[in-house]
Amino acid sequence: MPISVKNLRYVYSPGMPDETVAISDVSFDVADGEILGVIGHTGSGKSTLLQHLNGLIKPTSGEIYIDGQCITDGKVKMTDIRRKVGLVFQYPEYQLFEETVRLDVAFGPKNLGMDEEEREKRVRHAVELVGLDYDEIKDMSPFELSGGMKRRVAIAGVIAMDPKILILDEPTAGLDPSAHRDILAMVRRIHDEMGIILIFVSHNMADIASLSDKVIVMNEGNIALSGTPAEVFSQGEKLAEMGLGLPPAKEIADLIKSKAPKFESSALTADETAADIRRYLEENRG
Amino acid sequence: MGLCYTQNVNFIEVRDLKIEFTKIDENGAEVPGKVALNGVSLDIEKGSFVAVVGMNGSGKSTLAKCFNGLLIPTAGSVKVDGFDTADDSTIWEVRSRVGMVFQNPDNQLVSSIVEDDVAFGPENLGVDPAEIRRRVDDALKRVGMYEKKDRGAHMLSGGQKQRVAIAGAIAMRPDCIVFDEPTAMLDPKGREGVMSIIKDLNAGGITCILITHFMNEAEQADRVIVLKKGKLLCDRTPAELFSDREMIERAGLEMPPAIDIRDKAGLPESLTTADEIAEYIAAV
Amino acid sequence: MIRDITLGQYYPGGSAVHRLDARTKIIATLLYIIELFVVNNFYGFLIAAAALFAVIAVSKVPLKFIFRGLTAVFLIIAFTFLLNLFMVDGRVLWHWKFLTITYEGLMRAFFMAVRLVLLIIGSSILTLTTKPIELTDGLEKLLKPFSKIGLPSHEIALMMTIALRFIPTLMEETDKIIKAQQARGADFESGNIIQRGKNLIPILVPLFVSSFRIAQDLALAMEARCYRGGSGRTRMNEIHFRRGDAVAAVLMVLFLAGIIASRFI
Repeated sequence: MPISVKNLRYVYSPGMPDETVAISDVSFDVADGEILGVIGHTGSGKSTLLQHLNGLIKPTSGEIYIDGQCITDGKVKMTDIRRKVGLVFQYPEYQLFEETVRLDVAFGPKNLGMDEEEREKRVRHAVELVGLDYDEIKDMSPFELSGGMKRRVAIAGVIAMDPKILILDEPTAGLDPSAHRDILAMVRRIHDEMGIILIFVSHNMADIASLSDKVIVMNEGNIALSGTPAEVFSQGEKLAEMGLGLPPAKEIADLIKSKAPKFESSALTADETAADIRRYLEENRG
Repeated sequence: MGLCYTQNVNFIEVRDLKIEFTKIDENGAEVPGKVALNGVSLDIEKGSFVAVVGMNGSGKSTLAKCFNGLLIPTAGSVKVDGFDTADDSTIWEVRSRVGMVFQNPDNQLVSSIVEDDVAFGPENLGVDPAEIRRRVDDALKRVGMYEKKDRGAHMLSGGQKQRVAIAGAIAMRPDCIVFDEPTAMLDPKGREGVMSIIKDLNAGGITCILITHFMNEAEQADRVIVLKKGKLLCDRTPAELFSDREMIERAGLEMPPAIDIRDKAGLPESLTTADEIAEYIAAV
Repeated sequence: MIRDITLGQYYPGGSAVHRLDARTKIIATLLYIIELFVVNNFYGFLIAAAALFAVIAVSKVPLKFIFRGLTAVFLIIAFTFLLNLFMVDGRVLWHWKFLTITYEGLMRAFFMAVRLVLLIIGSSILTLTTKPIELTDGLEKLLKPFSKIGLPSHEIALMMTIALRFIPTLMEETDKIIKAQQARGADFESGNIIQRGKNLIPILVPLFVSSFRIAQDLALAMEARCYRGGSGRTRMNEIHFRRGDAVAAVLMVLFLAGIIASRFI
């Protein structure tokens, strides 16, 4: 279910003294099964962009096609878009409201009009996919769970709608290192098992580098850079101008390169940088 | 030899600290609940920069709230500059010495206008109006928000709000500021700004205690305290801590990137920074 | 839109109106609102409107900024207008089926709409030219005499400060929750009233939880900053009556006299 965004533009309070162009002219495509990483500062327009993709915001101009269908011409039914495109907001645990985990996760499927049996199946599958024991927690109140578990339940609530495209806005925000690793592994598992397009926003360049097939960098309402992680992160200076960094492993590889000119590396992750160092040492120790 | 003075003066002394929350059972009676901290003892030296790390639920935020008497020990004691935090009569002595900055930038600003918010603390302390004005201007300059002193708080970015919150603590002229995950909700630019302010404040003589999830932040402290399930796991310099992979794993933390790469590439343990690694490789 | 509500917002500036003591402005605004209901003819409204626009001119707050606040309450004004237009008996001007417009109705509707517009602009001038903290300080001082009979003037003022501070935050929070539930397929626009009421639960519960979290965080932050009630507190900017306030008082009396005189024209 490929996505195609064409000349998207969005202006807040047009004609008012505080008129702001949130997105000025954005075009990009995402192919089936791809993982797209999105980076950019608060206020760069990335959250506004993502909300367009499931129809929460209507563009000022421009079109979005999902699976060849235009979702911005006003003819399409909102529930159809929401069924196809799942959007998980930042700190999704703050949207939990039902008495039990089971009811909360079933909220989305119910809104889409799924029958009881289908719903139960989806809910169980979604909760298990986010790495929780369904039978153990289904009757618990979501408010009793720990922070990390709440977040998983909230993500399950969107997965249970069985979207073909899943958008996650900073899924690891505010988590400790081990919960961070778990959520990242979970995101990858969801993508692989469901075979969907995954779009995720993160400030963590190491996560972006290790997870994405393609990266777009938002800056002042435009796509400033896009390409594979290797292509995007080779533009260290441009990123620095926007106040964005590099994956630490890449930063270290660059630092080594600056001191040992013969050192060659296109590494983005710790494992890759370490392997390049080993190779270099073997070759040069003779 | 004459008398031997130790240079290091303890500003905060924590002894066998236990914090147990109570909860209400079905009959409405108070019963013991979760034990958040158990048997924690540590000292914070005057002028030092100490990081506190650990997984969610390790008790680090609870510990932060003990440093200025927002939480009173169930057992054990916390002394700040000699004042016991459990003593009601001196609690304001404690709180005026230990400022605090919290995680959520939105929920800790009291007034709608930047400078009025910064003035809130000194006003509570009953400081003379002209002196408050001086302190507010000075504090806002130190965090680089003086130009925005007339702005509405809701018009600021998360990082800017957090800087205003820090100015609010500075304006009380504390000896120590506790930062409870101040960067958790910020983007990289906001994070960097807050970290450089913390380092500036510490260089200016303020004792800084930083609760954090980010190892690259903990790495910049003089000392790192590791908590797990309410107990003190270890208390060392960053270099010592990050040379102990087993400890890092036990605490559910992670290695800073440079050390991770060093170990994965089989480089000598004496290298602790990216610079040292690069120098070492260049010298081969 | 949430962003369009100007009531309660402050427009930074250093005009003579900005510099007035908050107490002067609160009392003047109250008097002005009362006077709007004393006025009963065209001349009175002319004086009231002229006075208001003179104040706006002195305050240097852009008209565009002030009128935006009106768009948010436009529906209320329109509704009041129509209600008065069709509901008052008198000399019939126009009649169609069950709708009748009378001369008296037209006048009443017009006056009521003008009254509302002036009232809203007048009170927004107060908040636009007075910093929230001055406003609440002023209120606290005005209420102080009543604290002898048990009115918690400091607490009321602080509650107002916090309310003004957190209205935008809670608005944003509500917006976020609505969007998050919409993304889960929630529908807030269809169904009958009971259905719609039920549909609000997914918004209200998280909003309630959020408000509690905010309240808890804020209480801790205030305690950490040594808040211990109103006694012993000082203020960075003590509010004082100045010469400008005396001038404002004289102008207010003149205005009052003009309004009363207008009733006899």
